[in-house]
Amino acid sequence: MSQDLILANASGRQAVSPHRRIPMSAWLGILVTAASVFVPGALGNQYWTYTFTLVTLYVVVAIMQNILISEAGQMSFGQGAVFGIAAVTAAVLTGLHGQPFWLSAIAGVGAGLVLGALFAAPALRVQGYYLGFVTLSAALVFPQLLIALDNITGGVNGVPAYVMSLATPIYGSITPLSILTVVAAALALLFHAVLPRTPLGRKMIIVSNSPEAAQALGIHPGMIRSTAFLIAALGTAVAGVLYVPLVGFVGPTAFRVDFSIFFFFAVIVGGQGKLLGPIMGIWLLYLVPNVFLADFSHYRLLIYGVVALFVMLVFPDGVVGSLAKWIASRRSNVEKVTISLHDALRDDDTRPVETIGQRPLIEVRNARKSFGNAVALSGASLTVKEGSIHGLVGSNGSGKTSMLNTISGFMPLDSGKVELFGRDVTRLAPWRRTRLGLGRTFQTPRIFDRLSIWGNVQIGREGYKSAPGGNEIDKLDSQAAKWHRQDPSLLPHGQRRLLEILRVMQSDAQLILLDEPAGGLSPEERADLARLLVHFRDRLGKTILLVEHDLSMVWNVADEITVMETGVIAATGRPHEIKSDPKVRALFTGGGDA
Amino acid sequence: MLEVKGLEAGYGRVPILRKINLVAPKGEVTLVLGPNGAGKSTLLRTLAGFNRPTAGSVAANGQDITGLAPEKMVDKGLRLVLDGHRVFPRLTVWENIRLGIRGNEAELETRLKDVYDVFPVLRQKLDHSASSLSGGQQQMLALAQAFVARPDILLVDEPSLGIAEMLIPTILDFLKRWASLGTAVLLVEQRIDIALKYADSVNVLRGGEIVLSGGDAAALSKDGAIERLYLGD
Repeated sequence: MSQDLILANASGRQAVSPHRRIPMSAWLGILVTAASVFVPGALGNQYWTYTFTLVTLYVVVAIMQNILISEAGQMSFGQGAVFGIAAVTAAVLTGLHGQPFWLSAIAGVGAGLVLGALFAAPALRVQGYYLGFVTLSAALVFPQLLIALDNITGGVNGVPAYVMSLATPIYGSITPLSILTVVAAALALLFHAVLPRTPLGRKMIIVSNSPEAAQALGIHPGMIRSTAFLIAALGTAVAGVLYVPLVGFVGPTAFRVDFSIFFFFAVIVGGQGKLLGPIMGIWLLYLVPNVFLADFSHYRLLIYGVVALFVMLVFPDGVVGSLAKWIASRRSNVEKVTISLHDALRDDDTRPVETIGQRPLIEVRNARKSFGNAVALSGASLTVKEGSIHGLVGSNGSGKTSMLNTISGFMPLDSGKVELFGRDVTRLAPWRRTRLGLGRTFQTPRIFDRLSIWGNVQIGREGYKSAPGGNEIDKLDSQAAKWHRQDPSLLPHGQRRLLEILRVMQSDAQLILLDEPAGGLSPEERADLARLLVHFRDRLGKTILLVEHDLSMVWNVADEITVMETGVIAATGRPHEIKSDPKVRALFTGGGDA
Repeated sequence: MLEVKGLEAGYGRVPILRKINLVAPKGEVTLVLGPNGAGKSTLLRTLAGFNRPTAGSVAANGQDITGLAPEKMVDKGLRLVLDGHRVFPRLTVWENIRLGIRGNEAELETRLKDVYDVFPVLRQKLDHSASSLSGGQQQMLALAQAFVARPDILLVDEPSLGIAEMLIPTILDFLKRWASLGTAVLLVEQRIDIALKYADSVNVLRGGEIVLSGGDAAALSKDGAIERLYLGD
């Protein structure tokens, strides 16, 4: 049924327009936020207008925190300090030095960004909880610093700062400031709604799920984490600056460490990753202790704790998260998807590329690596020629995956040398090697359930900007519409593998490393895979290093085969030449013949 | 013995399995085949309690176990070995094996000897952390861990995944001998060419339904019925 499978040609078919429709929940969030400020405002209720304007400012901060937690996967316990430094800077400049507010605001945002950059710098190297502690220490030190530097900041007395032009009501108790606040919240919500559908958002999600896979796609994980911190700092600092004219006073006690924890809590309680989560979280955590139980304000921290505990018990995914899950389980409009290599193989008029040459694209020399007394590689050398399919076989634990990790840079060598495309890369980071034109798949497919199936394929070409002329690989675009709507969480193992192969195919990588691509595939899919590999080589001129246990497949498609045994090369040569080698025979014993 | 009657299950409201009837008798290897996406892994996950069935019943040795939580299933003598090398990487090989032990330790020595005979590499690496094993060796460890638990019913999802070709027959033969000790083995496998030789009966799953089942695996494979259904011609 698949004799006529050929790689589709790219000419003529344009990419379908990316689906960037704003989800309903974002509009709902904007509506709710606007109503919370403008309804009491129009009725002239100053207390509620003030309260909800403040709440909306906090919502902006929580949205930024939400992006950090859910998209970028980073813990930050220091967002309150970023907010605080922006507020204090703006207040000192307006209140104590009589500068115009717009100038003070710019300075405040700048100060917030500087602190954000301080968080971003360690993010280049560390992540997760380690980074969380860096931010936590900033949140702890910041209020002390305000008091210590009291000649600048007004110390324990704080700084009064009024901005009449922003605080004068224009209708009822609606002020220009409350309008600005609602606009800021709306922009933050829209940004969060669009972010996961942008290349930057996808990169954040990949980095937070698997830094290793990110590097294999040419992404520098640290750069992405730092960018996330800077973006969060920007939004948070804007909110901090607006706090000054709203409250009219900035004191050192406002930004203690629990202020930072409050935003973190709000996201978790509301439902991390959900657009409406921060709104729900801030409303619950601010309004309940400060408004409804205002008489017990001494017990505010206790009330935070009780609310958080209660919500986590009743709504394990946060309030919004649990509701969304419940609604999703009531719907049944999900269709089942299957990924097929047929999608990648279609009518074709491209001519075969004649590139099989003698130039070695991979040159590993005398590679040695051990972990304690466990030896992974003990002096293995491997040469893979341009335009060839090179099979790498061997029993379990013989060092095949170690060899792949050496080539792609995940396993630095104790001694030996690795050259890619004729260049010494022994000390080059994995993401830099990817950018030379190296692509790979993993033994356990790295599929990202947060992205749609299409998004999972697309990140193959988004990892890094490559040279022009790579657009002959747009052949999957007809699938885009279908794959846009579906997330890959229901795909079985073998299908996830195919998805990862399609991803590496979408990238411009000239040199592709495949780690057991046929594992979990049905016999029919194996046949398609073999055909696809040959087409890769013949039509697109790619070079493939194939680690595979299915020996008959390797012997069918490979131009050259290398056999590994306990960390060294046991044999290498053309398939028919080495077939009679006793070490090769041993691999087949009991497994039927190739 | 495992008996499945009219089983239906899915994710959320997406139905995956429809009216599954299946018997895995004690002492036999029952093979489940089917193309990718047919619902094989969902079937095993549902039987092991990770998915609640929406209809039908599952009985282990005549006892109804429908919809029990996974850890309760283990108490009823059922055990699932997942695909994709599920071991605890931070623990040593021995600690991983030890986790499987339950109940009577008297026969432990002989069971361990059986395991080491089939997978000698595990004995050599008892003190190494499981993360230092290669992908295929981790798969062996997962099987070893299940074996020392000596379950009445064993569900295995693609044991050949990541295993060197020469070892696949060894593993399947191991499962076959394991079954002959009185365990009902339900095996999902993609390498049908090799697996059919070791199966006592076969069920072919397509589109969430069992489209063919038969007691004599050898006869079924000979007349090509399986290949035809498998490929959907």
